[in-house]
Formats: sequence, structure tokens, C-alpha cells
Amino acid sequence: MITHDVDLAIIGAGPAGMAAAISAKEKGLENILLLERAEYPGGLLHQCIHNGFGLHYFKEDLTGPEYAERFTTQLNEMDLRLSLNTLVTHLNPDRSIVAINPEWGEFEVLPKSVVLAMGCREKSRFAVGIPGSRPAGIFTAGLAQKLVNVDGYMPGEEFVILGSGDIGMIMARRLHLEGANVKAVVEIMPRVGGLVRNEVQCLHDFDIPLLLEHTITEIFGNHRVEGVRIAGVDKDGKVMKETEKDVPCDCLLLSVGLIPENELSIEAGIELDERIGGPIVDEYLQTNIDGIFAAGNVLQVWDLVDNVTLDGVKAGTNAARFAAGELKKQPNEIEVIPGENIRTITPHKIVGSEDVEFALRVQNPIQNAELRIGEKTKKFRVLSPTEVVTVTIKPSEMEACRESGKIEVSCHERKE
Amino acid sequence: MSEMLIETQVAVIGGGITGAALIRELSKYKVDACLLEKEGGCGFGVTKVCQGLLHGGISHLTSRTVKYHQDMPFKEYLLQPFLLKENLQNLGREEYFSLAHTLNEEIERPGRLVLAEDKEDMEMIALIKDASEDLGMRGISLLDRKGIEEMEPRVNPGFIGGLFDANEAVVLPTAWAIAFAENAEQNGAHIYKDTEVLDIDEKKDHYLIRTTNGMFKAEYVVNAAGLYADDVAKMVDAADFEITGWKAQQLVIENQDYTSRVLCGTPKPQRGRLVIPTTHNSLIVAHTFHPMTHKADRSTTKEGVTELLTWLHEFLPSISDKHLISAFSGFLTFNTKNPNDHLLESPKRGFITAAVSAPGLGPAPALAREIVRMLADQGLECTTRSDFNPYRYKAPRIIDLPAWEKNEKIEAEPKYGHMVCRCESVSEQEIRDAVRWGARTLDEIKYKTLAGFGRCQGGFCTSRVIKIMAEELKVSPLEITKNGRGSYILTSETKSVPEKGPKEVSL
Repeated sequence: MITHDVDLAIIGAGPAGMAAAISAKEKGLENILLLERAEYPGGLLHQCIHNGFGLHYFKEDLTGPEYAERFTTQLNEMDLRLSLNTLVTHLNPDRSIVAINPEWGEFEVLPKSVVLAMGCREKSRFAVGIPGSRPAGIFTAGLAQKLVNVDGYMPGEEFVILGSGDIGMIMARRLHLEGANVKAVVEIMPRVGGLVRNEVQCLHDFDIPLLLEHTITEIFGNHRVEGVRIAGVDKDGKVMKETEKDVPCDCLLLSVGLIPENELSIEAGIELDERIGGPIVDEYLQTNIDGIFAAGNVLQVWDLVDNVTLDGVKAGTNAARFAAGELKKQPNEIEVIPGENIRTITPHKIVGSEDVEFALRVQNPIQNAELRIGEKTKKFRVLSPTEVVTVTIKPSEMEACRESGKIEVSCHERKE
Repeated sequence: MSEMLIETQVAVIGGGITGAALIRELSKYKVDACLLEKEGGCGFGVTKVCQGLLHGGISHLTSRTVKYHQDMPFKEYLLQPFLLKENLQNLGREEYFSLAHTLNEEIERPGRLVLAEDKEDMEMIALIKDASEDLGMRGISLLDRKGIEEMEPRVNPGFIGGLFDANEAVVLPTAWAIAFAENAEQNGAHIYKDTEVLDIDEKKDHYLIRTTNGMFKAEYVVNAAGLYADDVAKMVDAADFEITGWKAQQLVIENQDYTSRVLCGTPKPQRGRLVIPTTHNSLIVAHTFHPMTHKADRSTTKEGVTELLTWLHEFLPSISDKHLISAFSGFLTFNTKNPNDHLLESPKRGFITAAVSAPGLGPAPALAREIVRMLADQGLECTTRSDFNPYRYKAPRIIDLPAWEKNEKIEAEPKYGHMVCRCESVSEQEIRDAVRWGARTLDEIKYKTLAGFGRCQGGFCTSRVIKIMAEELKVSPLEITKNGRGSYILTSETKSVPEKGPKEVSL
């Protein structure tokens, strides 16, 4: 069995993994190995042929493949080692990795540090428990996106889309442009699950019906989907039977959420944040295992690829600093406590004495919001659970917290 | 319209576990036999949605307990003679272990742990243990709280004791039906998939079977149509029974070391609570009881899923609902003529009905032998074939091989190192092999290779598998189906959808 001794192994060459590799190399790490399961780097960017990528990071409006290309070009120029068609099958607590690919067979990687960049996967219908029969014609939105944009095939003619995640809304537009009949996007919440800009640009601009506070209560069809039953829900999310209506369609797409892919992390003994589904990390994005970092959607599902890239930069940089022994930890850790109206927040703890960038989602939409992080407050016109907010705090602003060992983050309505 | 006419000695109707085991049994003899299956592959009817239990030593005692009506002393009741299905089950179950070697299919013996909540339950399982001793069964032991803890530490501490039966075994039923059918095919039997029987014309010395896939002329017909056995019997005016039963909703949960043994509660009427570790790292939670409304209804309900999750938490409190992979409905069928037992009869010369009552999986190999015996009694000449090959080729799961063997394989064929299904680690070449050995549908690939079986339910691999299948079969991806006719996956190439009039937006 081949063994690779490397300074840094990166699992996944999507936007997070590529950014991590480039940043680590720029920081002076030489021996880096990227392990990617697909036949090309870039992760899901390849199938995202729509634009809107890179507005923050590059200040340009790029398509997914264009955004990926910026990084793949750099990987090539910097001579970074990329092993494609490679599935990592084991990650051990000592950071050793077992992987398999056509060229090396089953092989071992012994890295000094690791960046987890495995991304996320889509929830299937069972993860949300839609009852009904099990015919052909039910796809996750991402799979449909791959079929249409990469493989060049239509998965149906008449669509209903359950869930208004970004991929679902983007696919609604895509399918409409391909000549299909998108009968409805059905969302159980009173607002869309994805970005507002996608609601406008993908649904409203194309007159695609959006049914808020509705859900699908049954799927019909024996061999192939023949229709779905759509019903309204009340304030508590309970189905209102009297509003049920059967809608014929031959295809149901699901855009009902994404789950960070942490099976390898669990195997290695990395602690996870149950709510987010990603590893518990400090501000360096380091997990509870020294030298193992997490970046991008494996850590938390971001709305924008730009944030994923920034995560990768941070993890790659810190992996290089770790190798150089530069990652300093203070004797007292500060635990981050999610308080009122905070659904998720990273990092989970603060171990050093540098600037800390928090990324959080609120529980409920709020106008005239005031975010309190320890002593510091920051004002927002509006905060929505569908969008991640990032806030940077200086070490001087956390002095008081160092003694208590805790910093509470909460979000309130401003009283003025 | 002139239709294709295929002549055969024996036509087996239905490629569930019973029909598949039978066609393989028939292929041991110099008999011309064919199997007619309405689905796109074997084992996709009731077989697919059964729980995969072969039912160990005490299972017939526990299922008898469920039906006890206090009209005779309990122990005497338990020790009544075996029913036909119980007899066949005892014979068939152990046969699976030797077949696992020849058919190259997986089987595991996790054992079954019957859990007791209270003193009354403890008394009940003690009685069952007692009866098992009278029957000379081995591998059955009573456990106290500590014994359970040592065996399965994550089981609810509220259970005060239990009865362990080391005999219980599990298989992936559809994979086995496919295995039986493939081995039969290797030995000269013919398997016709996508072939639904429409009617049967009884002639003087043969039957004419009209199907969606041509006409068949057979001297003997075996009705192994499972859920539809009554409909098939009707075609020759021999249906003095109906197939009915319970719809049984079940869940599939990722097994993160929750339990390695089959768990069930102490038997009580109308309670089939079971947690079953499968052969591929998941748990099946079974099952609800709902009257079967119509036979094609495989739907699940929100209430059913909630109910099952509640039970599951009673057994294993630490389990997370997040690990729910799938939900499906199975059937516990029985025939109305002989509700407690299999119905095995020959209402007409040359026509045999094998209408099983649940469970049908364990008895299948022994039932197949019994049916061949009946056919021989009716004049079918059963001369053993000297060239019968009991071994079925199945490409090994690469991921399960030791590293040196993996690497030897990958060196010879790099596609064995290209993992297409991430959740179950299935390689490109394993999918190609499966197609070369007869798989034609996405579901067959799933059951032969496990691609698409895991937590993402095919989200990542489906498009790749379709592409590989189309390449191997030299067809357009548009022709690949999930499970035979009508279950198409793709509708057209992009940029070819015809222009339509204004879209209706009324809802």
C-alpha cells in the first residue's frame, strides 16, 4: 500500500478545499495533497451555470464554472498536488487517512494537519418525511441540476418543487427556460428558504407560482410520479385538510435543506454541533482534534460561495501556522453562548487572542435589530434566518469575557 | 396481430423470493422452465419490502403467542405440531447459510433479543424459553438487566430482562431473489422481466398464458404471484381464496452502532415492534398495522412514521431522528382460505398455487423443493442435470476486500478504484459487472451493488450510474428505468422540449 507523508491533506477540492490549499501554500507549506472524489475540482460549482458568484470575493459577477476556474488555474500555476477520483474512506483520530482511487488503489496519507472540506449533501424526501408511494420521478434539486446542466437531460416535463432553498428556486428558473412547466414552488414557511434575490430573479421574474405556507401531503403514481397533493398549513405548521388540492405533474424536485457531510469527522472522533451538523471549532476553525480544521459547508451551510472561500482561506492559513507552531492558545478558553434569537453561531469557542469573526443565523426574522456580542453591539436594519451574518470582534472587546470564560451572543429589537 | 409464442414445460408466475427460489430449484433438473415477472426485476414486489428476517428458533413461538386466545393451556398451545410454513421455515432457514456460499450472497446471524418491560413480560418469556427447551432448541437464553446491558448497552435501561435467541438471521431479500434467478438463468432457465400475466387459457394438456410480453405455452403452471396469487388463480377459475393482509409501514435508519442484534418487545397481540440491523449498516424499524386497502398501495403516512419513531425511541433512546434514511410500506399477507399457513395446492392438473402467508422468506428454499415434488407427482419428469452449476458469480464488493486484494484488482482494472457511490463505496466497475450479469434497471443495480442504498439515497450517484449503465448497454440514458416499464427517469434531451402554449398558473 502506498503511503504519502504530507504537511497538509485537504479532503475535498471544492471552493473551500481549493482556497485552503492555495492559502496554505502561500503561507509557506510545501507538501500539500488535495483529495477529491469527483473527476474534476470545483465541487458543485460545475453544475451551477447561473451567475451571481464572486460578487463579494472578486467584486465580479461570475458563473459557477467561471468562479471555479479562477481557483483551478491557480492550483495549476502553484503546482498543487490534486488527486481526483479519490474517495477518502477513513479518517482516524491520529489524522491518518485511508483513501482509494484508480491510480494508487487503496492508499494511506499521513498528514501533519488536515482540512475537512467535504461540503454538504441534500436532504432526501425521507429526511423530511413526505409520505406517499415511491415511484420514479422524485429528485433532489441538485441531482436535477446535474442531470440538466452537466449531463444534458431533462428529468421531467411538468414539475412541482418542494422547498424554496436556493437550488430549488434556481432550478425552477432553469427548467422554465428549458421549456418545462414549473407548476409551483411549495414552501411550508411563510418566507422562502433561500436568498431573497433568488426569489425575485428566479421565481417572480418568470411568473413561477410560489406557494408559501403550503406543503405536499402525498405523492401519487406507481411507476412514475403522476401528481402530488398540495395543502396549506396553519401558523403551527399543521396541514389544513380542507385546502388540499391534487396537482398533476410527472416530476417532484426537493429543495428541503442541506446537511454538512461529516461521516468522516464522526469516525475520527470530532465533536459536532448538533444543531448545525458541523464540527465544533475555535476561531482558527480548528476542531477538537489538534491539527484538524474544517472549512466551508462541512462546517456550516453557507448561502454564498464567497463565504466558503473565505473559510477555506482561514483554515488553510491556520493549518500552515499550525505546522509552524504559530497557533497560540491562551490559558483560558472563552465559550460562545448562543442567546436570545440566535439559531446558530460559529466559532463555538475562542482560544487565542486575535480578531474573531463570528458567523451567525438568527432564529426569527427581525427588523431594527441589535446584535450583542459580549460588550459589543452592532445595528442591523433587518436580519433574516435565511442569511448568515458575519461580525468581527477585536480581542480588546472580549477582555471582560476572558475572566468569566463565556461570551453571550444575542439579538434584540432596538428600542429607540 | 401475431404474437411471439414461447413453449415451455413449466411456467412460474411471479419472481418474488418464492418464484425465484423455485426457478433455481427447477434449473437443477432437465426441465425447460421459465419465470414470468411483471416488474423490471426479480424481488421487487412484497419481497422488496419485507423485513429480511429468516425467523430464528423461537420466532414461531413468539408469533403463536401473539395469536393466543386462552382456549387451552399456554404451553400446550405453544407446543402444538408445526404448521406447514413453520416446518418449511425450519428447513429453509438453515439452507440459506449453505446457499450463501454457493449463491455468493450475504447473510448475517445477529440473533434476536426479546425485551421484557415488566414482571408479566418476564413470566411470558420464561414460558417461551421453557417451550423452546421442550422442542430441543439450542442457543436460547434468559437475560437479566445486566445481561442486556452487556449485550446491547444502548438499549433502554427500562427493560428489566430479556430472552436471547442466537438463531435469528437476516438477509437482503431482493438481493437473494436476484441471486436465485441469476443462478437459474446460468443453468438454462429463462427469466422474463416486465412480463405481466393478463390471462390464462386452460387447454387439454397445456396452458396458454397471455402476457404483456408475448404468449407462453406451458404444460405446468406454478402460481407464485404473491400478493396477486388470487388474481392469477382466478384466471383458471380456481380462486376460492383471496390474498389480503396488513400494510406494514417501516423505517430505515442509519445504524451508528445503536444495536447489532434484532430487538423486539415481548409478544402481545397486534404488535410487531422490531428493530432489525440489516446486512448493510442500517436499521429497519418495523412495523405498523394498517388494513390493506388496495394491493398497489405502498404509501407511507406521516402518522405511521411518527409512530415508528416513537417506538424506536422506546427501544433505543439515544437514537437521532436525523439518521432517518427512508420509509416504506410492506405487506404481511395471508390467504383467506388458510390464514395461518401457506396455501399449497393443485386445484387443477398441472396448475399449482403457492400462496404464502407471512413470513415467506425463510421457507422459500424448502417450499421450492416441495413444489418440485408436487410437479413430479403430476408427471413432470425431473432428471437431475449433471452439469448444474450451483455457484453464482458475483463480483466482490471491492471496499470489503483486504487492501492487498483491493490493489491487485485495481491494478488489473483501475475502474475498481473509481468509487461512484460515496455512501456505500461502490466502484464504477462493480456497476459495469452488475450490468454484464443481467441488471437492467436502477433498482436492480441498487440491490446488486448497494449503489444508491445509503444516506443520500442516490443524490450523488444516480446520474453517474445512469451514464455507466447506458454505456454498458449501448443505449441512450433516456432508456434507463428505475424498475421497468413506466418508471422512466429522464424524459428528453435538453433543448428539445417542444414549445407549449401559455402556461397555466392557476392553483
